[in-house]
Amino acid sequence: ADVEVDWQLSDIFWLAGNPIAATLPNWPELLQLERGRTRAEGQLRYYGSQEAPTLNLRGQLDMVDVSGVYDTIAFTGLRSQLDINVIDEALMAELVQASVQRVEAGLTLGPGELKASYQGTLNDPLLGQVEIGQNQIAMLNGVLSLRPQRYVLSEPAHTFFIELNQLDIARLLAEYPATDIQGSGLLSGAIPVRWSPQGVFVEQGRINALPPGGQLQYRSERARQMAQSNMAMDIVMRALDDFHYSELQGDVTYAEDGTLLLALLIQGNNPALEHGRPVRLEVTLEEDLPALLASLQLVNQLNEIIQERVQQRLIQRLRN
Amino acid sequence: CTPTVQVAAPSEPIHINLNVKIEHEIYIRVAQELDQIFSGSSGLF
Amino acid sequence: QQMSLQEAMAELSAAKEQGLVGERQNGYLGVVNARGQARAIADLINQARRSEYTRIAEQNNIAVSDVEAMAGKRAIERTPAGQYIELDDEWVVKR
Repeated sequence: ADVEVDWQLSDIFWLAGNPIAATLPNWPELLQLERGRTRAEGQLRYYGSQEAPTLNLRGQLDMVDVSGVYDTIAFTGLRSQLDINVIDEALMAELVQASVQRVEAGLTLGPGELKASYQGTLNDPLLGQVEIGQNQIAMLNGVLSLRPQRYVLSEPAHTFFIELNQLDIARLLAEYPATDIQGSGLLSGAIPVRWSPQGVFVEQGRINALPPGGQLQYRSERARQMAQSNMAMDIVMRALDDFHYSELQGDVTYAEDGTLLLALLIQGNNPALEHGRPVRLEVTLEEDLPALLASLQLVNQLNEIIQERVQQRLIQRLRN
Repeated sequence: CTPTVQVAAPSEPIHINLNVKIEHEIYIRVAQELDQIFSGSSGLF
Repeated sequence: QQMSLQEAMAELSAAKEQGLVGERQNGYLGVVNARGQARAIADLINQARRSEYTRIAEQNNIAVSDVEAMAGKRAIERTPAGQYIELDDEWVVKR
């Protein structure tokens, strides 16, 4: 005898608190949902022969204008529809539509959207597969996206191919804590991020400025004082006082200890320096990326929970 | 950082090599100190 | 007679709520409406802020303008809705 039941959970309004966290044991501890609404409804079917009946649970989970915090990242305006289909042990889930208005992670990203799907089994979901579909998110007046790809979760390591498209260098330098450098131009790049339980690293990431290039100005009181006693520094300061570049290429490497290394080759000239004599500028820039993001968050981020977590992480990092 | 510069014949391009290491601990400390000023009990905000 | 820094500090939040002064991008107060003691309050508070920014810059060996820029970002973001902030060189009531 076939049985079919429609089910619906009562809407959850996150402003009124999180009723699930209390009951659901494995609610992710670092996830707080603070605003917006969640709806869930579907069908439960029980059919097939007496000896081997089949249980089929279908559901649709909607997020409407949800905002919240996950670890040190704040997000607002999350809208998504997740279709779930469980047939006995087999679990299939499809993120039919997911979009977010804004994501704050030191830098402000958004709006963005993502399509994805998952196939696996109920008893060991970590042996399933995830398919990342079309996705993008606005960043620094350009676009960041992840190359659509299938990930087999049982594999020990994964590579995420991040593509950067026409990021505005002026915006990037404006976000940067130091104010003695300004610039213009559009930056694109391909960054293969290698993830494994040991950590995250990047090899052979590439960035380059789009033609026709742009300008860079580095004007720092401290560097200017150094230049008085150092001829090489004096030339660097005069070149970078108003540097017009036609080409900018960079290799990006990021080590598991958090060190970001940019090896930049910048070609151009300063019209005021020796009648615009060509200059070939090779810069290796070493950054502590976690510290950079933390300092950006401390300056830009207002959410107390995130401030708290960023401070704690920093103290741990500075201690060991 | 100590840059090296080769200044060959005038028509040749100037080669500049620059190694820059950014100290972020500084900006973190500054951000934390500014936190005190703009916390409302400093009298300045 | 001359206002003291102590009095300026005491008057600051009222001056902000009445829309006499507001936060600027450079980390200092600006006079929005020069009524009452607005000018005196802004000058005294800015003087105290400048010496704080200079102290922080010297201790950390970075430019005062860096500290001022970071302070400006924080001041504007921490200003509650309904008070004035400077946006693209114009006074705007923060929503």
